Amino acid sequence: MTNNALANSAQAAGESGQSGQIKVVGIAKRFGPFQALSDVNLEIASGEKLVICGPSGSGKSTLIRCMNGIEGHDAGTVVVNGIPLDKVKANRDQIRREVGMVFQSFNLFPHMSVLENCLLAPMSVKGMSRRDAKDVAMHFLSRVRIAEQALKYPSQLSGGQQQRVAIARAMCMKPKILLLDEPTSALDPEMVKEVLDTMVGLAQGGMTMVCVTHEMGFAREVADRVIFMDRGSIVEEAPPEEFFGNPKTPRAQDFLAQILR
Amino acid sequence: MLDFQLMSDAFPKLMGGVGLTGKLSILILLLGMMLAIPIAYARNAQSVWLHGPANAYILLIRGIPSLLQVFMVYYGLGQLDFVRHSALWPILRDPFWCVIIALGLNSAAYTAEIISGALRLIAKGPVEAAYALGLSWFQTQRKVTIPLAIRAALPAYENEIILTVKATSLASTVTLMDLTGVARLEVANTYAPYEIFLTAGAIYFCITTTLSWLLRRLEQRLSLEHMKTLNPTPLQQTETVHA
Ligand SMILES: Nc1ncnc2c1ncn2[C@@H]1O[C@H](COP(=O)(O)OP(=O)(O)OP(=O)(O)O)[C@@H](O)[C@H]1O
Ligand SMILES: [Mg+2]
Repeated sequence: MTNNALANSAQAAGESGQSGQIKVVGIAKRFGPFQALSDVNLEIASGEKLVICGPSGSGKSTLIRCMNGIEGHDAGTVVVNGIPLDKVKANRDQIRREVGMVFQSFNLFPHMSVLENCLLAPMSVKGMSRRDAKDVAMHFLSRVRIAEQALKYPSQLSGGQQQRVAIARAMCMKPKILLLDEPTSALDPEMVKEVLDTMVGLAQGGMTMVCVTHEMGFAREVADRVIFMDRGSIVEEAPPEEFFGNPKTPRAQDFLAQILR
Repeated sequence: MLDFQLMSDAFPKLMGGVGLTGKLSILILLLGMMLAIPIAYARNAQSVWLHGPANAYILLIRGIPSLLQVFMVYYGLGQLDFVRHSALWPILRDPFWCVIIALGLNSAAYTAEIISGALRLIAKGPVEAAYALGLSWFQTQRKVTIPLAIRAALPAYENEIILTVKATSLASTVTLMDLTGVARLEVANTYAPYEIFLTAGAIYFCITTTLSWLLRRLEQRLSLEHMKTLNPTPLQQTETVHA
């Protein structure tokens, strides 16, 4: 009962202009003795396109996984769409409905066709009818230009195609926020472009996007802001031109020198 | 020399026992599966209070011969006063239910071991994706984890099914007239153990190999490998559903 009341008030807050917004205040996360995130503060505006980069192990994945509660944080607060991501299950569920996620390794359901991958959440989470869900699914599968493969299974598709399906699957929930964790880094080079093009297309809309990537071209074209992480902290943040053209901190300079090499 | 006349006379009588063998097998496997699922989840749980008892149960059952377990339920329970006076006594003194309980508890341990192994084998990526899409734990189990676990478990479970069919022959030791029970009776009547047991063995062999063949086909149909070779018809015509 209290859960419901909380969820409702949270939802009301979400509708009063905070939708699409993420506030991360002083969060920390450790894995055993290892401090993966320490005192991270970040505010992402509704509709903002944010790119996160940084060396391997710097906590990029951990940070975005804390934004939908796939990873729990140990300290600090995360507020998404005006809803606090806390122990209250109804809040977490509400946030996950409105936040889509795309993974480095696609994570499609291997036993379901492309279409069923896209139908599952709208039908079982939103309770949509199969027919309505299918309309939505076909719409987004067309948008990622893979509608004609709808009855194939993930294992029958190339990596680039699988990742586009994964994007369509997330979009079928009509999220206000899309989190992408290195969506192109598991792809063969010739497939990177088709996925990046899809992402650029998505960025045209008003959706908030948070993308962990080292694709500078994408960041320059789409991002409003780039944040650079190292050893569990945000070290630098700037608009893409500034960050890539004139990084301030030595750590960011080293990092960029490495990925440009 | 084999007496083929004797064998063909015995054959229809032996087939009369196949029904009970089948009934026992199905009920034992069902009871085993129902108990095995919670035991398997418990076995994979973090908490010692869950995986401790589950492990102990599996260890205990595996360490004791099935025949002894049948005897313990059939002869042992009747020794206990509270069992004899309980409402369940009519069931517990019926050898049919005793065999189902004993072998069902037995099958549960082996099946739990198979399922818990399969659950641990599931890649965590798709499960995480389900959570990220907003599915609850229960929905995720039903739509993602269990369908994938079934595929992972089928080869081992096929073996469990075959072993259970053969284990039902223990029912003949507590007066039941299953295939082996009928065979023993026929041997007593004809003094021709060689012919009769050979015929019974041939029937068991046919049942188990047929089952094995059917299960292999199912396994192949469900396999993720097989999906690579599927050639879906154009979307407008049909919409296949694989749950
Ligand atoms: N479940 C976990 N258990 C233990 N350690 C973990 C776990 N997840 C992440 N870590 C550790 O936390 C640190 C940060 O991991 P994270 O995945 O966030 O890094 P990342 O910046 O995304 O790196 P990459 O570029 O390699 O993906 C790493 O050192 C990693 O080993
Ligand atoms: Mg990562």
